Amino acid sequence: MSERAYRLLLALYPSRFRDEYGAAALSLFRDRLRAERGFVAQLQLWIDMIRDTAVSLPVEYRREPLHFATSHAANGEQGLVFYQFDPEIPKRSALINGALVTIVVFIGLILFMGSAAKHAPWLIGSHHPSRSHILPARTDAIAKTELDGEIKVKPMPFEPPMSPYFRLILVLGALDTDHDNVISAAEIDNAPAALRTLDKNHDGKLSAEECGQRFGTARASMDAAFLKNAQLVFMRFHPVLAALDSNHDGEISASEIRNAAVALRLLDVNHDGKLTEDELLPLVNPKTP
Amino acid sequence: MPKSKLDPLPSAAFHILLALAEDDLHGYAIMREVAELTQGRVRLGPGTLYGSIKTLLEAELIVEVDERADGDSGGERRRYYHLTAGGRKLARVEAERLADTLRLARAKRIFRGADV
Repeated sequence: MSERAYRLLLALYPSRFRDEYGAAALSLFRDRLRAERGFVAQLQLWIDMIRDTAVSLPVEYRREPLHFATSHAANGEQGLVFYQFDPEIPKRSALINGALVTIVVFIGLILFMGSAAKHAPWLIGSHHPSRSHILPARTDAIAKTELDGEIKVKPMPFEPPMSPYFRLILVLGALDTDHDNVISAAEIDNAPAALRTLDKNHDGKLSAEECGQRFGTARASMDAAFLKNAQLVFMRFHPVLAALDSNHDGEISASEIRNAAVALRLLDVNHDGKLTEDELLPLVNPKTP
Repeated sequence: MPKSKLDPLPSAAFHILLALAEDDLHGYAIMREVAELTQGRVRLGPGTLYGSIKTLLEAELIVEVDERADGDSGGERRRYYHLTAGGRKLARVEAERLADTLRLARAKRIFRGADV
């Protein structure tokens, strides 16, 4: 058994060294094996052998750099060239032993990784049978409870784009303070204050232009009667303006501003306490004048 | 084999030359002789021993003599080695170098006690 083990060590040496001194080295080992009896002596013998191999092996390989045996194909220079470390053909038993050792090592490695993942936190990235999607990790910097804790991520706030109609009618834009395209009950209650923010000239009332009507540069060429008529049409056409301008004079007076909440509730057709776009668009709301 | 491998002379090679100074020996006998000379401090393993022997043979500091049957190992035939004149000279030079080093160490009083 010991001799066979030492033969394995000898097999690590370059072939030329084995050819010249393999038998003598084995003989020397046998001599020591015979002479050195007892557990301690045998242990010392093996320590010596392993240390000797570790020291002398690199020396022998440095002495004889690997001679690559070359083999040319049949047609000489044009053919392929094969290189091999050792000109000797390996024994069949050596090939079989090598294959068996390789298989055993791989099976052992797979079993080790499968079982050690439960107990060896340093195997980060190894397969975990129960929670394969979680990498096992251990750190003293983070409390265990934090590692097990659940992190809830608040969803990104979604702001629907402002309705073009709400953008066009400044009154609606002012009433819809949270820009969700819905005039909620609270926003209805807050309507007087919201409407007052549109009073740019601070006359206490809202003209058609302050409510969203736009004439642009054409305004200068319009006569007063046409302008007044256009304002009346604008204020009557849009349900929210028509509701707020309860006397239909083409502007929302101070009293009408104060009464805005009551006027707006008249538009709540489905009585859900809020005003949605379908209740505010012209020609949709049956209460449109 | 270039002699640069023996310059400086490795400790194992020097001990082998010393072991062969008085008699021709085979490998295992050289190992035992070295262990005895050094009171067990130097134990040459097979790899180191035969690697050094190979180097010494190539430098012609030792030569291989005819194989002989060894009585201690049941008549097994063994290769014996013989120290050449060149080997003896190199061993002497190395010993003198070490002696010089020893004198230097004494002069520097790095030793303690009166017996050195």
